[in-house]
Amino acid sequence: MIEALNVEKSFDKVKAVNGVTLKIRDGEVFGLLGTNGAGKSTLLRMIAGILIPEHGTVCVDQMPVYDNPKIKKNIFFISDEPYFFPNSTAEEMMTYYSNIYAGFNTDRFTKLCKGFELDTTRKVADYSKGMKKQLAILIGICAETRYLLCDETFDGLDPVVRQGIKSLIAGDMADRTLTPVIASHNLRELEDICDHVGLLHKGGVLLSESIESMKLNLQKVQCVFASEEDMKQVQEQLDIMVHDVRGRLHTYTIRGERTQIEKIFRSVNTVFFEILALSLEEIFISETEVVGYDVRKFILD
Amino acid sequence: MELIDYQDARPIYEQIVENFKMQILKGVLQPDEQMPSVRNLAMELSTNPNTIQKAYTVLEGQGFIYTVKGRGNFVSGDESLKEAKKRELSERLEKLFLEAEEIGISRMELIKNIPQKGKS
Amino acid sequence: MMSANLFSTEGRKQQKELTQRRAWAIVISALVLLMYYPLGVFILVTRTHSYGYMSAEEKYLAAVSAVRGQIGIQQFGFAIVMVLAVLLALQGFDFLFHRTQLDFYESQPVSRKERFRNVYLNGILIFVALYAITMLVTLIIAAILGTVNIILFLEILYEFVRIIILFFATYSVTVLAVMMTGNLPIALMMSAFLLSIEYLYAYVIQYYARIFYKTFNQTNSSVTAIGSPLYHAVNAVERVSKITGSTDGTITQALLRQMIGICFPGDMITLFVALTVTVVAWLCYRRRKAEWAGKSIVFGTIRTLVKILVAVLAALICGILIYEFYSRGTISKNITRYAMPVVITIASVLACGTFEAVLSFNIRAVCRKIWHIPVVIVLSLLIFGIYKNDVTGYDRYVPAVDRVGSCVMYIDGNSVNYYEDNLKIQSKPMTTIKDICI
Repeated sequence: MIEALNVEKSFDKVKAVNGVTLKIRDGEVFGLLGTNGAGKSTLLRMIAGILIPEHGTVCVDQMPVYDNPKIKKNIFFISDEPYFFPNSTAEEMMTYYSNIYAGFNTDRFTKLCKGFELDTTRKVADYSKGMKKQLAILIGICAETRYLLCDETFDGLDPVVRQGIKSLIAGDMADRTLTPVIASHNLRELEDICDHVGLLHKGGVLLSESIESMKLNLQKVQCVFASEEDMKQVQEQLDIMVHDVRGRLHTYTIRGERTQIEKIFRSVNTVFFEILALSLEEIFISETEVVGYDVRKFILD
Repeated sequence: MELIDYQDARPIYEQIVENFKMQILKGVLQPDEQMPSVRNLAMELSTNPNTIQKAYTVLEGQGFIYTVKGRGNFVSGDESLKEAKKRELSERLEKLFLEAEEIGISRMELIKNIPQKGKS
Repeated sequence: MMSANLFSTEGRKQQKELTQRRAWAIVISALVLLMYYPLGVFILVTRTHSYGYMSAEEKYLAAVSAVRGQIGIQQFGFAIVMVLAVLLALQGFDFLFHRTQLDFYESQPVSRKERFRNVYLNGILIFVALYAITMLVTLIIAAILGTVNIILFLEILYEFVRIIILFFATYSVTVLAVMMTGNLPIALMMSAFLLSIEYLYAYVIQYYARIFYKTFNQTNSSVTAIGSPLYHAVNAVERVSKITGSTDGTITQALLRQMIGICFPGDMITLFVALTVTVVAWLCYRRRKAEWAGKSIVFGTIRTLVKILVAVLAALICGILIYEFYSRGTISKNITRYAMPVVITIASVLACGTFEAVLSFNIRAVCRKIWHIPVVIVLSLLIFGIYKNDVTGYDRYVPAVDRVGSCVMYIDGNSVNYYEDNLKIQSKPMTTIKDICI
């Protein structure tokens, strides 16, 4: 389990991470969402043991990570700009990594590189940017560590490669304990693979919830009431977050469980009502609008 | 197995549940047939195995599948399957009846309106 | 991935791996060393064979001198060694300057202590190995050419150790410079600073003494900079050259003992500096944070200290320059009283601004941290004042004019620098005590 407790970190008097508390459970895919500057890369690097928090603790399996090789053995960090030794080939990088990470699976790596059509005898410096990213991800997966930290890893991957990587991660999660933590500013990248999403903004956590509960606990209802009375009656009983009116058509975003809400609407006279699909984006927007931020601008990439 | 629609508001596991229910109801998956393993299905769909696991748990809860420890998940046998199917279809029917009542058509009216297709 | 020590299989493996990645630095170092030492000795010795005007005995002595000049205690090769030390230190720890490399290294399950130790030792091992091989080859060549005798061998052996100590010290100082800085150009400047600042200050201070102290004797005063390995290296060569210069090239055992005696204290100090600086560098590394990559000087107090030292030095040098440009003849008194302080003040301001601009690679940074300027002005003028007004009483032995009973002038070619400006002596008639006692 990864646990951040009241973590603070500043760079030159700018607070990048301001009192973040998060829990990441084993075997779950955790998404760290936020713009650049929100603090997610900083937080991820503290989990990786690259940066040291000023206040608070970052612990993996109850031990602080910084300068702790015993714990770092179980963590692999994939940077947004992966570094490879100049003039080295993929094979040479594999050899280097297999000496560092005891569980590195060299056979699997060779096979996967072939599958993804990466020439392991070619200099990595000659690879395209996308290929370098692919290589970094494959190395990370083959290191077979318990935690895989990905910083904007899926950005810029073509859809085919992306699906392939997700399959690999899915397989590893089923075969062994793998806890991927993925930092991104793109909600769409996260929503199809994450179990749990933490939204960071300006160094603080706006919300941290599992995707399932987010989808289940927020409903969108469109309805035309028979009378004002009916409308008032319904609104009294509901926890309404957003209310939009167009002519006679009311659109609500309501916090609550689907069947409960259905019951309430059925208890009054309506010309019609319908419980609609709420996309994850809309959920995020409603959740954060309440707190006062307009996240529309930055999560919809 | 069709691909998952990420734009759908329903959680992914719900889509998987619906999909399998459909296959089972229609007879695409036979009673006591083995379901794909969590691992393989996750890899095939490129999705989180936790999600697959959740779907299977729901299916089991509703009686459509059963689990044999160490061997995997299987489609329920004829008898229990019939029960599960009955339950499922009844729920759907109930929804339609409610919808009809909302626009002023009573239950009886609706039933009488349905032409009897050839008896099985 | 815990390595017990350097000599375990794990340690050797890590060293081997580090070495493989530093191939180009190794090749350059090897080439430079091989060209200067074995090749240099070969060329210089074989050249003496063509000295047609010399007897066989003289040729032999010339050959031995040539060998001694290249690999003996008086060699100038120490400069090359220092350059290689800086190169190897900068290249080894260069990863501290790049965020991507730090992401790479610091996320791996290797302790920081181990990483520091491995990289640090690797540079030293590379040099010692290359240098030992180079020296061996050189010795063999020299022996084949018949120039080696037991005394020479001992001298070369001692110098071998000296050079390694010098390398160690320069390397450590550069590593310390790296630990205190965030990018390569600044690290290079910082290591130049650390190696030479004491030496430069000693020179500048002595220059002020020379300008203002009437009884200051240039020829018998030499500059000392105890903490600087560079100083000790240069000093050793100078002083040893003085005692061997008058011989015909043969080194006796007694002479060798004398030479070693001159070098030994400096070598010990250099060794001490090397060890102390290594410890300080390690302590700095411990406190160093990954996010400092790219900064100029990472520790605020050190930055301020370096800035003040550099700016004061620059201001004082400007003072010297204005004095040298205009001080001939009778203008000198006014120059020292008015122009120098003004120039020093202006130079202080400019130096502070330039320092900020250079460190930030940004011309607009000249206006930053203005509060340092008064500090620099005060310190430079203070030093200027101390020498101009003889605050330490250096010349207090010189009696006031009215207390002089009688005086005699003794003019001798060697006393040019003995008492202030003797141009005054030559340019006007002198009949009274007052004329002579300036």
